[in-house]
Amino acid sequence: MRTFSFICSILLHISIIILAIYIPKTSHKINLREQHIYNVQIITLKPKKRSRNKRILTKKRVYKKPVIIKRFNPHGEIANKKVVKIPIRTTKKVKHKIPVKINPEILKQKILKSAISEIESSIEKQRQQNSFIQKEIKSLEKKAKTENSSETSNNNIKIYSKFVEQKIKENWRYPLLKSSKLNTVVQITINKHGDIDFKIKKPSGNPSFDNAVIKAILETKKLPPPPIGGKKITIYITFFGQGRQ
Amino acid sequence: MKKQVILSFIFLLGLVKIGFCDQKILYLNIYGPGQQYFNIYVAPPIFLGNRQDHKKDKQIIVDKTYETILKNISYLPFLKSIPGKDIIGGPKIKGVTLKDIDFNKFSINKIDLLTTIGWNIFDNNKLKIEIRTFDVFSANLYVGRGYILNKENQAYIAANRYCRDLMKKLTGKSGFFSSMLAFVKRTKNGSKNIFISTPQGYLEQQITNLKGLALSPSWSWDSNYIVFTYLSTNKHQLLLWKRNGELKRIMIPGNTIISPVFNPQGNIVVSTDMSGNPDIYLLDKNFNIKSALVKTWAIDISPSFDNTGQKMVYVSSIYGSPNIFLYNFKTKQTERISYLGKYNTNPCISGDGKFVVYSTLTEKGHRIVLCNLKTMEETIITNGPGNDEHPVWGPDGYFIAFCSNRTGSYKIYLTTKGGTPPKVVNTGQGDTTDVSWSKEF
Repeated sequence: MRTFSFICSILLHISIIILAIYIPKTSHKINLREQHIYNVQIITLKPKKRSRNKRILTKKRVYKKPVIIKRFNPHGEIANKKVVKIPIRTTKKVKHKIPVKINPEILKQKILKSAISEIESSIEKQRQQNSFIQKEIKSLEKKAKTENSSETSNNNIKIYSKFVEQKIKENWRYPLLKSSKLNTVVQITINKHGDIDFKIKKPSGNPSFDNAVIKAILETKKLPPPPIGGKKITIYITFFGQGRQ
Repeated sequence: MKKQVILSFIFLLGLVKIGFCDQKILYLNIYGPGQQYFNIYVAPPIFLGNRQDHKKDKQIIVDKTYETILKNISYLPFLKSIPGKDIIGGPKIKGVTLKDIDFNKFSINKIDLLTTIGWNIFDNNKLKIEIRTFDVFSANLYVGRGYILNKENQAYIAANRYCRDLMKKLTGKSGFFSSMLAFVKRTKNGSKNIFISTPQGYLEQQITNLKGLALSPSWSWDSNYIVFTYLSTNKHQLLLWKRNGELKRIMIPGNTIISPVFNPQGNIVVSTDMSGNPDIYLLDKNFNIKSALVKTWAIDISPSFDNTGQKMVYVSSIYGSPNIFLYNFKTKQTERISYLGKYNTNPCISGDGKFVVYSTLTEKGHRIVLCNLKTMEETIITNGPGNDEHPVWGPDGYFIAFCSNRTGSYKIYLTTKGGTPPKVVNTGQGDTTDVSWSKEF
C-alpha cells in the first residue's frame, strides 16, 4: 500500500512540474515597453469642387481591354487561355468645343455699353435717394426752426446771463461783515463788441458798497458779444450784500 | 398832403419800433461778493523830517508799529495784505498824503485800500506817527490817525488802536482790537496759572501765581474781574481776580465747583454738587447762593449767557450722554440744541443770542460746531487734526477762539463763524487751554 501511495505521489509531483514548465510558455505575455503609442490627427477631407471647365479640360482615364498573352507551353503548343489581365493606363485627349468667332471690337463695345447703362442707372438711383434725403432734412429743419428757435435763443441768453453774473461776481470784493442788508441796482448795456456801459439805477446808500460794485464792473472790462445777432443787450443787475439764504 | 403826413408818421413809428427791438432786457441778481475781502497794501514808513533829525531808536519804534499793523491785518479775514513785490510798476510812494500818491497804479493792481505811515521828531525827542488809509478807487482818505510815542511798548498800542479804528470803519465792529483773552497756561513748577493777553498774543501777563491748578477762567461783562476754579491739594475753590491784582476766595458749599461765569447783570453763576450731582446755581452780590438755575438728577455744568441774559446754554447729561441745552428765562422753556454727536461739551452763546458754538466728539477727535438757533442747523467749522475744544465767541460775534492740540501741544487758535482757516495766537511755550474772551473795553 505504501509503495502505491509513494508511486502516486511521485506521479503527482511529476505532473505538477510538467505543468509548471509548459503552462507559462503557452500563455502570451504582453510587454508594454515594446508597445508604441501613436498620436493621430483626425482630418476631415473637404469635398472636391466640381467645375465644368475642369471637366472639359481634364483628360479622361481610359482603361484598355485586357490583352491576351499567348504563352507557349513546354510542349510547344499554344495555350489558348486567358492568363493574366494587365490593365494599362493610357491617356485620351478630350476634344474642345470650337467657339463661334466674334469680332472683339464689337464685343468690347457691347461690354462698354452694358457697363455704362448700369452705371447710369445706379447714379439715377443715388440721385433719387439724395433728393429724398434732402427733402426730408429740409422739412425737419423747418420743423425745428418753427418749434425750437425761441427755446434755443432763450437758452443762449440764459447761459450768457449766467456767464455775465459769474464774471462780475469774480471781481466783486467786499467784506461781508458789514454788508448784510445792502443792495445796489445797476443797469449795464453790452454792445455787439462786448463793451460794457453802466449806470447806477438805485444806490445802496453806502458809498463804499456802491464803489465796490462799480469796481467789479470796471474790472470786468469786456464781455463776450451778446448771442442775439449783433444786437446790444441791457441787464439790470441787483447786487445783494448778503448771500442767498 | 394829409396822406404824406400820415405815411411819414407810420414810417417814423416803424423806425422807432425797430430801434426798440434792437436790444434785449434781462434781470440778474448777484448774491454776495465773489471775494469777501479788500486788498490792502501797507507802504513802509517814510521819514517826513530833515535828515539831521532822524534817530535810529525812534526808527525802531516806527518799524515795530509797521510790523504790528501788518500782523494785525493778517488776523482779519476780510483784509488781504498784498506784498510790495506783487505791485506792477513798483510799490514806491512819494509821500504819505493824498497829493503824493499815484492811485491809478494801485487801482490797476486791484488794490482797494492803501495805508501810508509817516513819522517825524518834534520838540527834540518826541516821536509823532501819522497813519493814513486811502480808498484807492475814490482816491479819498478812509481813516487817518496820529500818535505820539515814547517807548517801544507803545508801538503795539498805537498799531492796535489804528487797526481798531480801521476795522470799525470797514465793518462797524471793533471788538477784536479792544478786548483781552484770559487762558490757563502750565508754568515751570508744574502748576497751572491764569494769563491774559490781546487776541493777537501781545502784552501777555501772568495774573496768578498759585501752586495748584487754576481752571476755567471767565471774564466779567465789564472786563474788570476774572472768576476761576482753583484745585488745591484737598478741594475745589472759587477765586475772583480783580483788575488791581487782588485775589479773593469765594466760599460756597459743595466739593466740586466747576465752570464759573458771570451773567450780564454781574452775578456769578457756577456749577456745584451741593445735592449730589453738579447743578447750576446763581450767586448774589455777596457770593451767597441765590437760586438754582438748573437742578436735575443729572450732571448740569458749563453755563453761558447772551448779552441780554435771557438765554442760557449749558451741558446736561439728562439723556445719558452730555448734550447742549438752551434755557430761555423769558419763556422758561428748555430746548435741546445738539443732535450732531453723542458727546457735546463747552457751549458758548454769541452776544446777540443767534448762534451757539460747542465742541463735539467725532471719530477723529473733538471738533467745533456752530449751531444756528434760528434754523437749528449745526455745522462743523474746524477740521483738526487733534482735538479742537473749548470755543468762545469774540465780543463782535464774528471771531471764535478755541484750544487745539493740532501741532502737538495745546494752543489758542482764532477762526470766524464762517470757518476761515484758524490762525494761532502766540502765547509762548507751554500748553494753553481754557480760553475766555472779554467784552469790548
